[in-house]
Amino acid sequence: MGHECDTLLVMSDVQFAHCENVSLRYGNKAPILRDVTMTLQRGHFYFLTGDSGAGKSTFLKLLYMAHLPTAGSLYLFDKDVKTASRHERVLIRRRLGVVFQNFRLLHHLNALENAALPLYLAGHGYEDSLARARQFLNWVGMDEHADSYPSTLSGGQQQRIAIVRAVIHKPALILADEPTGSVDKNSAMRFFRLFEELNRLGAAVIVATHDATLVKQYDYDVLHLHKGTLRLQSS
Amino acid sequence: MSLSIIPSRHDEGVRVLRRIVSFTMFLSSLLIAMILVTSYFIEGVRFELAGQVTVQIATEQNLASVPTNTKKDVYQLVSQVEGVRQISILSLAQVKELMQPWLRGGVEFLDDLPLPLILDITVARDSFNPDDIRSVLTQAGYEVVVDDHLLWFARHYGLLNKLHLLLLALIGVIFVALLLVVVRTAHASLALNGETVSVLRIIGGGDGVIARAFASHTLMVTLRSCLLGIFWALVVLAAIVYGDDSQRLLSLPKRLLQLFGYGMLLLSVVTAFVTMVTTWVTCRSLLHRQP
Repeated sequence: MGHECDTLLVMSDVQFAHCENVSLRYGNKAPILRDVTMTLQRGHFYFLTGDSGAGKSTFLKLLYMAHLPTAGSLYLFDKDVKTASRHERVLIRRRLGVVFQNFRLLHHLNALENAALPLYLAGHGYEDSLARARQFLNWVGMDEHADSYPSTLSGGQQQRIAIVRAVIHKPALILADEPTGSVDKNSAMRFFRLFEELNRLGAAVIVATHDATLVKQYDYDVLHLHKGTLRLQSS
Repeated sequence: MSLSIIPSRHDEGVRVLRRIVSFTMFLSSLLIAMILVTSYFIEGVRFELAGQVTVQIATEQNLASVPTNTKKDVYQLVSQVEGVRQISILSLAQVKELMQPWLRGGVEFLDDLPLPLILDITVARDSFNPDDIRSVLTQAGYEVVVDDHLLWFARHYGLLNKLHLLLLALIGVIFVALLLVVVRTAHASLALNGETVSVLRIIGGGDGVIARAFASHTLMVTLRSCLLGIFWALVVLAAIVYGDDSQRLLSLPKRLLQLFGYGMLLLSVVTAFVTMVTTWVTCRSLLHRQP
C-alpha cells in the first residue's frame, strides 16, 4: 500500500464549490443540467430537492467527479475539476464524504474494513485505519457487527456503515444521496441528526431528498432542481 | 497486513489465465529440459570427437605387405606435426575387426585387397590443424585422406543449435501470447469489478493504488500457476527419466539438474513479475480513461 501524500489544497475561506454555467449531457441527449451557476458555502447545510429524474444524483455525481461538466466550469476547493490533474482530483475526492443511495458497500470486505477504506486509501496504515474505524462503529452502535459482511446486515445497518465510511476521514463536504430513503423513520431521524452534528463540526452537507416533509421540518437552504436548472431557495 | 481492496477473482478471465500460465510453464519446462539434456549429451560426444583424427594413406599392395620402414616413416612424419599427442597405426587384424560389421560373409578376402594404412591419432584440439598432417605427408609423396570427425559433426552440431534456437523462439512466442492474455484478463477483470473500482475511486483511491491491487492479484495467480505447471512438467520428466531403458538419463550430473531447477524457478519469478507489471500498466491506462 503506497502512501500518497495528502497535499493540502488551497481552500477559500467561504466556498467549497463554485459552478459557472455548468451543463451536463450524456452523448447527444438533452442536457440533464444546463447553465448552472451557483456558489456553495463552506459549513452550510443544503437540501437538494427535485422531482424524480430531475438530476439530483447527477448533480451529486458532478460534485464527486464521477462525471465532468460537458460545458462551463466547476471549481471544487478552488480547483477547476476539468483542468485539475488526476492526482489533484484524488486529493479533492479525499475531502469529500459520499453516502450513496444504495450504500455501495464492498461485499468482499467486512463492516470494519468497509468503514476503514477511505483512511487506508489515503495512505494510513492498516492497523491504524481499522482502529479508527472501530471507534466510529462504536459511535454508531455497530461495534458488535464489525466482522459482519454487508450481505448479512439489514438496510439500516448497512447505511450506518456507509455513513461511517463517508465521515471517518473528516471530510470538508458530505454528499448524501437519499440517505433516509431506505430506512425506517426513527433511523432516518437519527441519521439526519448525525448529519447536523457533523455540520456543526464544520463540514458542509448536501442531502439529496424528495421527502418534502423532511425539508419543511428543517430550516436549511434548499437547492431545487427543475428541468435541468438549479435554484437556491434560502431559508 | 494489508487490505484487499478488490475481491479475490475467480472469474472466467482469471481461470483462463491460470490455465494458460500453467500450460506455458509446463511446455517451457519440457522444452528447456530437452534443450539442456540434448546439449549435455551432444557436448559429451563433441568432446570425445574433438581429440580424434583418422588418417588414411593409400597403399599399392595389401596391408600385410606394407614395409615396416614405410610405417616408421609415416609415424615419424606425423609425430612432428604440432598438436599430435599419440599415434596408433592399425594392424590388419584391427582393420578386419573394424570392417566385420559391414562384411557378414567373412573378412579373409581383405588380405588381398590394397587397403589403406589407417592411423588413429589423438590430438590437442587447441593447437592442432588437420591441414598440417595432410601437407607433411603429401610432401613426402603419400596419398592421404585426413578424416577430421569434427568436420562432419559440426554440420549436425550446427543443425542442433538451430533447433535449440527455434525452440527458444517458440518459448518466446508462447510468452508473448501469454502477455496478450494478461492484457485481456486485466480488461475483463476491471470491467467485472467496475462497481468496486468506481466506489474506490469516489472514496479517494488513486489509479496507482487500484492498479496495484489488480497487479498484486495477478502476481499471486501467475506465481501459483507457474509452480503448478512446473510440478506437472517434473512429473512428466520423472516418468521419462525412469522409463528410459538405457538408464543414461539417470546419470545426468547434479549440477545440470540444479541448473534446471533454479532456472525454472527464476523463469517463474520473472514471468510472475512481468505479468504483474503488464497488469499494472494495463489497469492504469484503462483507469486513465475515467474522469
